Amino acid sequence: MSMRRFLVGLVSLLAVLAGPNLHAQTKNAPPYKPAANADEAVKRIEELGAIVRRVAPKDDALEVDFRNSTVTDAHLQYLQSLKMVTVVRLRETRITDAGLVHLGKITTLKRLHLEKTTVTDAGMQHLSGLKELDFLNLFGTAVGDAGLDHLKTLPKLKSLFVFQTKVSASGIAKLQKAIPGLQVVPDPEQDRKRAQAAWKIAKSALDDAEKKLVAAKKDADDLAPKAAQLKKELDEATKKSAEAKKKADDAKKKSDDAGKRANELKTTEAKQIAAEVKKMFDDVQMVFKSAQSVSQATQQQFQKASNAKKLAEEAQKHLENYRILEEDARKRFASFTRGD
Amino acid sequence: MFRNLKRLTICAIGLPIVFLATPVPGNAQESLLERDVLPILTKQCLGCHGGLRQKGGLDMRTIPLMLKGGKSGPSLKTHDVNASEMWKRIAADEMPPGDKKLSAAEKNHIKQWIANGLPTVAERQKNDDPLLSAKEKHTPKQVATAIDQHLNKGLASAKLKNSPRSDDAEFLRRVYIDLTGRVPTAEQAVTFLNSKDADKRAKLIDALLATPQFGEQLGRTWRDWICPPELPSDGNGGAQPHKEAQNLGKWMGERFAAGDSWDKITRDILTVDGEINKKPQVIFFGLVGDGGKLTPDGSARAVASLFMGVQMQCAQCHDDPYRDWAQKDHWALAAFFSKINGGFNKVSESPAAKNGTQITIPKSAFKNSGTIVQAAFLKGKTFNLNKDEALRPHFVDWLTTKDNPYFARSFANRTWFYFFARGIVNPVDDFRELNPPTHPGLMKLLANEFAASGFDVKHLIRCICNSEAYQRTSRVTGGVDEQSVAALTAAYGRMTLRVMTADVLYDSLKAAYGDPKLDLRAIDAKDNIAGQSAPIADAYLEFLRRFGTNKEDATDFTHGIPQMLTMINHPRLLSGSKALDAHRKTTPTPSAEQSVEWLYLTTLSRRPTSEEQAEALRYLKRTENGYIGVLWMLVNRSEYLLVR
Amino acid sequence: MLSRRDFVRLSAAGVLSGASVPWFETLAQAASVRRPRGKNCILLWMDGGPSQQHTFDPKPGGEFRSAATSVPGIHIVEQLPQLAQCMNDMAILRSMQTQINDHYDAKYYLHTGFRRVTGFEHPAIGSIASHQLGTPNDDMPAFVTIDAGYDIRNDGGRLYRSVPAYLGPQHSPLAVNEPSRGLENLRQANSDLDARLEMLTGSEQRFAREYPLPAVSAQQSAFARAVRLMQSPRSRAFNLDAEPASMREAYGSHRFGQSCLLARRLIESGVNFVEVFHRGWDDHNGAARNMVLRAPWLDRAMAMLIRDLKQRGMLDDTLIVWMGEFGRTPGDGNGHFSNAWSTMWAGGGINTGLVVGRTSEGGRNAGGTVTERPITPPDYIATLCLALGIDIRQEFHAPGNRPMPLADHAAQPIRELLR
Repeated sequence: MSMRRFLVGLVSLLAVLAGPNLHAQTKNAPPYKPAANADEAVKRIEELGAIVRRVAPKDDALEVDFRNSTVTDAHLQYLQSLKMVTVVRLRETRITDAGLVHLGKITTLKRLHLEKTTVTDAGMQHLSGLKELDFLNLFGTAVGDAGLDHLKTLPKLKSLFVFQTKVSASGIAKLQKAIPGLQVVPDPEQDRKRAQAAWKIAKSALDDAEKKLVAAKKDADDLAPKAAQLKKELDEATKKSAEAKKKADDAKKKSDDAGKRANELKTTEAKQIAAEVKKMFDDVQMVFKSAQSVSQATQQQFQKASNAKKLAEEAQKHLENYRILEEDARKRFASFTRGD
Repeated sequence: MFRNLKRLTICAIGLPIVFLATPVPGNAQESLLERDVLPILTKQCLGCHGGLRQKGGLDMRTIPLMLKGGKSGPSLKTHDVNASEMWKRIAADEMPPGDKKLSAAEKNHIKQWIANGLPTVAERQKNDDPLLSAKEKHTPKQVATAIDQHLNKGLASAKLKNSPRSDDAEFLRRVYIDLTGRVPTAEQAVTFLNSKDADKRAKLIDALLATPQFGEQLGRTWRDWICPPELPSDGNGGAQPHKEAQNLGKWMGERFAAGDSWDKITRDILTVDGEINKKPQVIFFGLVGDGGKLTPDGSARAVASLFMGVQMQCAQCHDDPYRDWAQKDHWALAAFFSKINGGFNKVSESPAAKNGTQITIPKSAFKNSGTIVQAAFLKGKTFNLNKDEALRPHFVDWLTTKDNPYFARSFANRTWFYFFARGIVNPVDDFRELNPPTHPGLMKLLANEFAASGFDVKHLIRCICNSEAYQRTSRVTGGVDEQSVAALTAAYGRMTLRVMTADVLYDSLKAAYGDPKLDLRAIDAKDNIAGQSAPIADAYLEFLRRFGTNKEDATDFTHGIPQMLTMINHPRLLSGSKALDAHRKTTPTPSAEQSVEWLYLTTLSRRPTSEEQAEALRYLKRTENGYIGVLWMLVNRSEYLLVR
Repeated sequence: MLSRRDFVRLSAAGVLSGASVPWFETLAQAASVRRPRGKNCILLWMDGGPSQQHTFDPKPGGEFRSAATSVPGIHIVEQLPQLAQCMNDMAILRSMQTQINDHYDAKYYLHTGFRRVTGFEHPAIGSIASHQLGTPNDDMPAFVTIDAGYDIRNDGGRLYRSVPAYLGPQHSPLAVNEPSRGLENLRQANSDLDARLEMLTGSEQRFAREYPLPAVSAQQSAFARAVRLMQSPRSRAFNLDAEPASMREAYGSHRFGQSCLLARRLIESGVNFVEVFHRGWDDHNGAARNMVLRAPWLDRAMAMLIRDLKQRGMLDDTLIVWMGEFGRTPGDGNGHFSNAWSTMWAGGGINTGLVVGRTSEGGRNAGGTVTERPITPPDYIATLCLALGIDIRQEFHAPGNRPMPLADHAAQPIRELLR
C-alpha cells in the first residue's frame, strides 16, 4: 500500500509541478468509448472524475455525481449501462442539449441537476419521457417558458428550480395547472405573501419599540429633572432613618436591661417597668421602620430617575435596530410589488 | 484515506502485529502464540472470553487460563487437537458466533499451535543472554558493541543484510536533531565535516550531551509524553495550563542537562508536595488528573504508563479484555495516590486520611464500584502501613530499586523508541508476558546497564548513539519493495526516517531565518486575538498546535494542507533571513555559489551537489527574489521536514 | 453488477462495518431509516449559549413578544420576522436537555456527543462528516471553519476547536479567520512560485528515488494537494469578492452574514461541512437588550441563507444547524441553562415546518423544564449523523485497541425529524 501511496504522491506532485495549467479540468477528458457492462461503465465514469454511489445504504438505487468532472455529452451514454440510476448531478459541467438526449433514456431518473449548464428550451423536449422525475434543477440556465411546455408530461414532478432563468410567472402558472402539486422555486406569489407577513411583524415590533421609547422618554423627561431633588430627599431620609435607628437601638438596650432586672427581682413593679420600657421601644422601633421604608422608596425613585436617561438611550438604540428590521422587511416586500 | 485505513486496521488486528517483520528464532513455519495465534484470539475471541466478559466461564487471556477452561471443561489439551474443546468449536464454525468465521489460514494456525504443544515466542527467547553482566557499569563502547551483537544476531537469523554506515553529513544532522533538538548551524556543520579525527563521532556525541540544549530537547520530549492529547482545563472557562506544562518540560530539561539520575527525577516528581511557583513539577498530577483536579486513578494510569511501561487504562473501569490486568491491580496502585489532593497549582498529601492504605472503586467505574481495594505493588505483595504515614515515598522506594522489574526497562525502552521510532517492546507502555520484546537480550542488556549505572540517563544515550545501529544510513539500499524495507527496518538493519517534531522544526526554522521570534500565525488571526481563542494569542503554542506530529509513530507524516500552505505561502518565509544577511556581511565578497552552499549547510547540513548548485544558480538568474527563494525551496524539501 | 467495486467503496466508507456490535439495538432500529447519503451541513454556532426565550421558544409574559410564522400554530419571537417566514423549511428542537452548565465541557459535549474526559479525545461532528462524507484527495477540503467574530465582549470561555482525534489529522478543519480574506495562506505570497517549484521538483524526484518510503510520499502528496488547491479554479469559492455585490448585500454587511455567504459558496464548491462560529453570546447582563442588537443581522443572514440555498436547489442537500452549547435561564436569560433549551435545524431533506419537544408553560418558571421528548447530546449527535446519511452503528478502534462507537450506545435518535 505504501508503494502505491508513494507512486500516487509522486505522480500528482509531478503533475502539479509540471505547470499551473495542466490541472484545468476542461482538458484531457478521455473520449467516449462504449462500455460493455456496468463495471466498465462505472470505471469509465470514474475516469472522468465523477462518482458513482448508492443513494442510501442497502438501496440498489444509484447516484451519479458528475460535478467537477470532465464529462461531455457523449459520456452520458454510460448511464444506460447502469441499472437504477435515480440521481444525476451535472452542475456546472459542459453538457448541452445534445447530452439530454441520452438522459431522456434513463427512465428510472428521479432527480436531475442541470444547474449552471448551457441547456436551453430545445433540450427540454428530450426529458418529456422521464415519468419518474420528481426534482429538476434548471437554476442558472437559459431555459424559458417554451422549455417548461415540454415538462407538462412529467406526472411526478414535485420540485422545479427556475432561479435565474428566462421563465416567467405565467409560464410557471401554466405548468402548475398541468401538474397539480408542483412546487416551483422561486414562487413569486408565495414569496410576496411571506414578505408581506414578515413586514407586518416587523412593523408591529417597530410600533411597539416606538411606544416603549415614548414611555422611556416620558420617564426620562419626568424623572430626570427630579433626580437632584430626589437625591436631596434621599440623603435626608437616610439621615432620618439612621437617627431613628440609633434611638431604636438605645431603646432596645434599655428594654433589655429592664427585662433582665425584672427577671432578677421578680417583683411586679419591675415587671411593670419592663413592660413600659418595652412599649417605648416598640414605638421607637416603629418610627425607625417607617423612616427606613421612606428611605428605601426614595432610593428606588432616585434609582429610576437616574436610570431613566440611560434606559431612554437604550430604547432609542433598540428602536434603531427595529427600524432596520422593518426597513429590510419593507424593502423585500416592495421588491415583489415592483415585480423584480 | 489510505493512511487512515492503515491506522484503523493496525488497531483492529491487535497489538502483536509488530512480530510480522521481526526475526524470531526457530522454525518460521511453526505457529507461535504471540506472533500467530494471539492476533486471532484478540480479534475474534477475547471480546467475550477475556477480562471484560467470560462467557461460559471461559477466559482465554493466558495459556493457563485456557487450560483451566470454563463450564465445558478445559478448552485446550496440549498436543491433542481433537481433544481440545476450543479447536472442536472453531473447526465446526460454532465459534465465533455471528457471520464472521475464522479463515482457513487462521484455523490452520490454531490447529498447528495446539498440535505442537502450545509454543510461545517468550519460550523460544527465554535463554536470550544480555551479553554483559548486570552487576557493573560498562564503557559506552562495550555496551554499543553488545547492542550491535544483539541486532546482528537477529539480522543474520532472518538472512537480512544491513545498510551501510551513514555518511558524516547524515549522521551530523541526525545526532544534532536527536540530542539538541535542532539542525546544526552552517558553522557547526563545516567544523564537523572538515574534521579528520577518526573518533569525531563519539566526541561529537559527548559534546552535544554536555550542552543545555540536550536537556531542553529531552525535557520537552518527556513533556509531550506526559501531556494528554489536549491539556485538561476547568469545565467552564476552559483555561489550560500551557505555561505550566512548558515549565515542567524546562524543569525536567534542566535536570537532564545537569546529569541527574532518573530515579532522582522520578522521586522529585512523584513525591512532590507544595506550590507550583516553587516546584514546577507540581503540574504533573494536574496534567494527568481530571479537569485540573488530582485523581488517584489518573495518577496511577500515568505512573504505570510513564514510569513502569504498562497500560492500565482499561483496568480502571473493568478487567482488561486483552491483558492480564485485573481492575483490582489498577486500584491497588491507585491507592498509593489516594491521599494527595490539589489542582494545577498545588499538591499536598494528607497522611492521616481516613482510608489508610485502602481505596474504594468509585461509582464512575463500569464494574465493581464500591469495592474496597488494598494498596499493592503491581503483581507484588500488598502493602500495609501505619495509617498516618505518607504513601508515595514507599511506592517510589519500591519503584526505584535496581531490581524493580518495571522501572529501568521502561525508561530504556522509551529512550530506544525516541531514537528508532519503535520500542523493543511495542507500544512502549505495553510490557506484559504476551507482548514480548522483539530483542529480549537487548532489552535485558539496556535495562541492566541503566540500573547498574545508577539510572544515568546520559550514559544510556551515549551507549545507544555510539552503536552502529544508530549510525546506519536511512537511505533505502537493497530491496526497495515495501516488505523488504519494513523487515530490514524492524530488525534495525537500516535507520528509520522520521518526521521532525514541531519543536525541532520551529527551532530549526528560527535559526535558518535568524529570527528567535519567528511568527507563522495567520496574519488575520493576529487581528483577531482579542477573542477567546486563546492559543492563537501565542505564536509558539499555535505553531505546536499546527505542526504537531504523531507521538506514537514518528515515521508517520501527518501534515496536510494547512501545514503545507503555511510552508508554501506564509509571507514570513519569503521575507528575508537575518542569518543569511549576517553570513553575507561577514563573508568577504561572497560568491553566489558560496551563499547557496551556506544555505544548504544551514538547512540540510550538507553541501549541495553540483546539480543542485546549478539549479539554484539558474533560479537566481531568473528572479528577483534571490537567496530567500532558495531558502524557501530548502525548507519546503521533504529532506528538510524529515530526519534522515 | 457492480457488487465488488461497490463493496470496496461502501466498506471503506464504513457502511458495512460494525453490524455485529451487540449493544446497538436501539440504534440499529433507528438506523433502518433510509437516508440519502452525501448530505452537507452548515453549523451556525453561537458561542456562549443563546437564550431560547429570546429566539425560538418565547413564552407569554416573557421579555419578547411572539409572532406567527409561515406555519400555522408555530410562533417564534417577533425580532426574527424574515426567519419566521422560512418556518416551512425549518424544524425547531425545543427540548434540549444536556446536563452541563459549564461552557467548555458543554461545547465539547455538544460537538462530539460524548462527555469530556482527560486523556482521551472524541472526534468533532465536523471531522466525522469529513471522514464519512468527504471525497478523498479532492481539491477542496471537506471541513472548513469560519470565524464570524463577535459583537459583544462577553466571556464565553475558551473556544472549542474541532479535533478529528482517532480519525486522523487529515480530517482537521481548514480555518478561515476572516471571511473577507478567505483561507489563510491560500494566496501566493510572492510572484515567482513557478520558478521556485521548478527548482524544487528535481530534488524532490531524486530524494523520492533514494527514499521510496511512506513518509516521503505522504509529504510530497500533501505538498501537491496544497499547490493544487491554490491553483484549482474551485478554490475561488474562498474569495467573497467573486460574488455579485447584490448578493453580498442581501446577506447583510455584518461579518456573520458574510460568513453565511462564504459557507454557501464553499458547500457549492464541494466542501461537506462548514462551521461558522459567532462569539459573545454569554449574556449575563440580560439577553433581551443584546438580542435586539443582534436581531437585524441574524434575521437577515439566516433567512437569506435558507432562501438562497433553496432557490439554488441546494437546500434539500444542505442541513443548516443553529445552536450554542446551552440555553439561558427562563425569563431574563442571565444565567447558563442546560435543562430545557432550543436549537434550530433547516433544510437537509429532514421533516420541516414542525417543532420537536415542548417546555413547560405558565407559572413563575415557564420554560424551566422539558415536558415532551427530552433530547440529550448523544440523541442529538446521532440524529445529526443520520440526517447527513452517516451510519451511526459504526465502531472504530481508538488508540490502545479501545473500541469506540461513533454514537453513544444510549442515543435515541429523533425519528420525527427523519424522513
